[in-house]
Amino acid sequence: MCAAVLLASVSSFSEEFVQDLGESSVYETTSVEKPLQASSSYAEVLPEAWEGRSLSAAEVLASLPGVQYTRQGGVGSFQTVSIRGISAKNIVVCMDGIPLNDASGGAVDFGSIDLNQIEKIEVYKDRVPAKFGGRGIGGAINFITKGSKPAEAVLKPEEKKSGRVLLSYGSHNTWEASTQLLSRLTDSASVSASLSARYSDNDYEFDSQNGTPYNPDDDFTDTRRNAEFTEYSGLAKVRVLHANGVFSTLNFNFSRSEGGNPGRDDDQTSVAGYKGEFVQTTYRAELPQLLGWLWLELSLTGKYEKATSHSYYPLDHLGYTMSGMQEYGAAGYSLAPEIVASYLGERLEANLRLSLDASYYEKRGTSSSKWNLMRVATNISGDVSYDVVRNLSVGGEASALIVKDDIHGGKFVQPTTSVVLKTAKDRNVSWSGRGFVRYDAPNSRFGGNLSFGRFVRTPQLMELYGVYPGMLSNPDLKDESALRFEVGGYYMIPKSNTAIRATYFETDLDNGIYWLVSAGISKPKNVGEAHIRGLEAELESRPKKWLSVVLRATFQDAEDRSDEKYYYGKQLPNEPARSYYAEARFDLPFHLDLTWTSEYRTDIFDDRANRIKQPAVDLHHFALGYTPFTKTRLVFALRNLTDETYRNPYISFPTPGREYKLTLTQGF
Amino acid sequence: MKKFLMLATASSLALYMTACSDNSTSADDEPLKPGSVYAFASDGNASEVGELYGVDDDKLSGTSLEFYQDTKIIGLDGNLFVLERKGKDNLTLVDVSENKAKWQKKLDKEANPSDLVKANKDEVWVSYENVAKIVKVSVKDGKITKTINTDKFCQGEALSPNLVDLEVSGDTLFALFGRSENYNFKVPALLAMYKLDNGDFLDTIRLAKKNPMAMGFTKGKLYVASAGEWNLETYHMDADDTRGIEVVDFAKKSSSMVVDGKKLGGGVWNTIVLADGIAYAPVIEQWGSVSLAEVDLAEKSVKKISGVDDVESLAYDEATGVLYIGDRGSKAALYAYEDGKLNKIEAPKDMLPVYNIAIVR
Repeated sequence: MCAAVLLASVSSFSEEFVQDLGESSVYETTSVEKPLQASSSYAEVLPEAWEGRSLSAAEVLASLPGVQYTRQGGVGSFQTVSIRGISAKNIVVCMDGIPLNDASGGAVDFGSIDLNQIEKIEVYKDRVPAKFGGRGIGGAINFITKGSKPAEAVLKPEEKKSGRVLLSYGSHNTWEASTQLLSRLTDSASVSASLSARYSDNDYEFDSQNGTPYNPDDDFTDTRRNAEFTEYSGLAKVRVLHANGVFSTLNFNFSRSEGGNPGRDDDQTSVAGYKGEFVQTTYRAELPQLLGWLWLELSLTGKYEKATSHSYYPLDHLGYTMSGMQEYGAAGYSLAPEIVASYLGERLEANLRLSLDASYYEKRGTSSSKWNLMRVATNISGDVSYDVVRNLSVGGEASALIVKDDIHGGKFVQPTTSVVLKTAKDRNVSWSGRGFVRYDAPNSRFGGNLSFGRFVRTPQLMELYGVYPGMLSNPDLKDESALRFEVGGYYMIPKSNTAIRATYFETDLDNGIYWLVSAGISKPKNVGEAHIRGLEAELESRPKKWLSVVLRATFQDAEDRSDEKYYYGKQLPNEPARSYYAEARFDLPFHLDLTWTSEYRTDIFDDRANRIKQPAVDLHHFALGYTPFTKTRLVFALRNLTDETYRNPYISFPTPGREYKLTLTQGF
Repeated sequence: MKKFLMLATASSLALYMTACSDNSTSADDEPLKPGSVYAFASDGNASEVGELYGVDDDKLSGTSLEFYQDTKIIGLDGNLFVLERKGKDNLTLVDVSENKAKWQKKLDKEANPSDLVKANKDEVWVSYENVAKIVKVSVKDGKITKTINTDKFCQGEALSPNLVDLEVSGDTLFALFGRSENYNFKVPALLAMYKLDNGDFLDTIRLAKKNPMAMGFTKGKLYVASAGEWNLETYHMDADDTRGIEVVDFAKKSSSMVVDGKKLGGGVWNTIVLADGIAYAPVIEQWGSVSLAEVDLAEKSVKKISGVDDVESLAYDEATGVLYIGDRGSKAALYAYEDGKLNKIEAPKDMLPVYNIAIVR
């Protein structure tokens, strides 16, 4: 109704009242562009999709067709996405091309990614590009940090520096502060830096059943406690073009987060919490062309990450039934040298990549038993594209991953205690490959893409050897694998400035790793099989200067096909049969703009057995922007207008309802 | 003086125990009627929720009642009590005539209720595994009327002595403590005795083996089954003498092995059913392999019941002599074992594995 009223009121404005906002360093208006790579399988998401909009990284990504999200709380809470029915642990998530997926753990937590540090998100829905190491089967998401564009691309010739400051405040005492600076030091050197902080009390109200669904008398309205979240992050980049033609880039990223672990809705904690630390440094050298045809790029990345959680059982009822503060966690160090050789010819383009990733993990926390694990992963990958005839190209990519684990001093954790393992088992080479045919042309109104590939995911260290009590790990696990097919295309309608895209996809998953129970003990086994097929469609249009519209839809059948009779034929967890997304942006008079978004998904099940059902949900958000000066922008955003807070009694983590946020961005 | 009184109490108790029969909470001598069989189906890793089924006309059918995946059901005096364990910690009384909850009460946080026995016609005792308490609860409305603190039996830094099972004989309440510390069993199990009516402490007996699972009376003797510890080299529950079924000697305040892991083929998992001198015990050999042993306690002989391979739960209907077996392995189903024959009970197609069984009469 509100949308209709807004549409009616806005449509009464004639176009001459709409100002040309021009180019701004703080905000760029949407334009309808030809799909990249001739397919909706690849997408780039830019800051206009999130800045001032009160949306997390997972929610922003879920606006794309084929992407679903889950969240377990407010700002900074654990959040994941699935792509085309494939769960989060199988998706490779990278920061500036370096995988974030911790080899010892599960899915990457999108709640810990501060979007104020991000310049662009690349989403590969149909594949894990060979350049990311070929370690996943569900696609890849690459967060590109701010300052990645060279100074020449951002600064005008007469400018020496630019930057901006962002401040926001919203519901539950949530605030963000962020600043970026880009400075041209000389004609051949520039430096950029960014600092960001965010905080939230996350003290939202929710309806509690007190964990007793058959006793309505003890239901009450509760407030989320011990859910505070604080994060600081920063990055610095130095770019230098040397006299010998070598182009050097030095990147440095860090983040530190801590927060409460509020526990289940019916048993909230008091002091339980977690801490995370992340530091990544990359030096990259792009050599001038060699032999007249060869481009070489060398890089070395060092990474440190630490994640710990703590609790005090007498107050929190988490962890062992012991007195005293308990802390558990791990720290990981990795070093990853890489060399990329590229050939770019008239009809042939090829890249060959060789990388090594040596990672070492060890125990952190109060537990007296020590463990450490080391994994050395060698990856050889390549991709090639050849123009058979004009506008028609064929190509492919392949990756081989050789993993060697060393668990000297490592603990294989048993249900009752831990034991030192003598050796790890040798693993087979993990390989993936994909071929494609693409029709596309620079000025074509239409294009298409067809691809078929095989992808794998090597079991995580935790699944193979275990680092946490209460589970029985399995060193004999095989790789999870998937065969994936997709065919898609686009059609442009220049008159109405409209692009239509659609892709059909089909995936067969095999050897899925699930934790099974026997005698009260969990153990991972290769028992999962699934078949997913679906269609995603997208329409992006800018029929008027003051109006742009995005409509997206996903139709999918994500079915468990494993041999276990309890699960065969069931819907995969968190995968709806249909989901829709609609967005309308109105450029209004008086330097105002309004963005309205609505999202809808059908029923989902929270569990593999399809017992915990969440009903269909529709969410609506809006953001009202005011840009009085070229470099000044104020946005008021309202998320979850209808205050949707439904939960099944067996879903223990309530999420916030309606939320407000005010954001000021000032460029300089 | 205190020691003397304790010894006297123990001796009286021993004399009494040898004279009394099992199931002495049932005072009437009327012949037992066959009970109604209930099964709770759940699969911990696949779903947080499980479902309650009833056996009707030799078929399992759903009751539409859902509970937390780790739930224990117990039949008592025509009632079905539901213990939702660590994570939910609720006690629910189900009206079996209408298949609906009469009342549901939240217990202590992370209590992990492990067992429930009759205290008197109006009250039941409920044991906690993760909190050092036994509580007496009113059957009428679920209110706690009495609390026994058991923290003196905690081992090391543990906050609970891990009470895993309760039994009643005569006017005595028996409590079996695992006494683990941070998943480690440094000491053998402990048996404690209390007065059934008011929970006054009577005595303790240090048992022979570690990591106890369950206990039960038959022919006037108390038997305790233990799993022991995992072999850290092979990840198996070894067939050795560190586990098995022991019998308690109240006169000597000690226990001795009846059959050990060598004869059983591993450690006893989760439960034990005792009937007329026979013990039925799930025996865990390694992950995914839990066989069912039939033990003649007098002969000390062991026979394996074939046809099941991952036994999760057992229940015995004394009136019919039928043993009900919940298996979650390759032939997962609810089985009725009678006269040496195993009969599969028909179940809905997508029913989850049977996690717990109760007989209500």
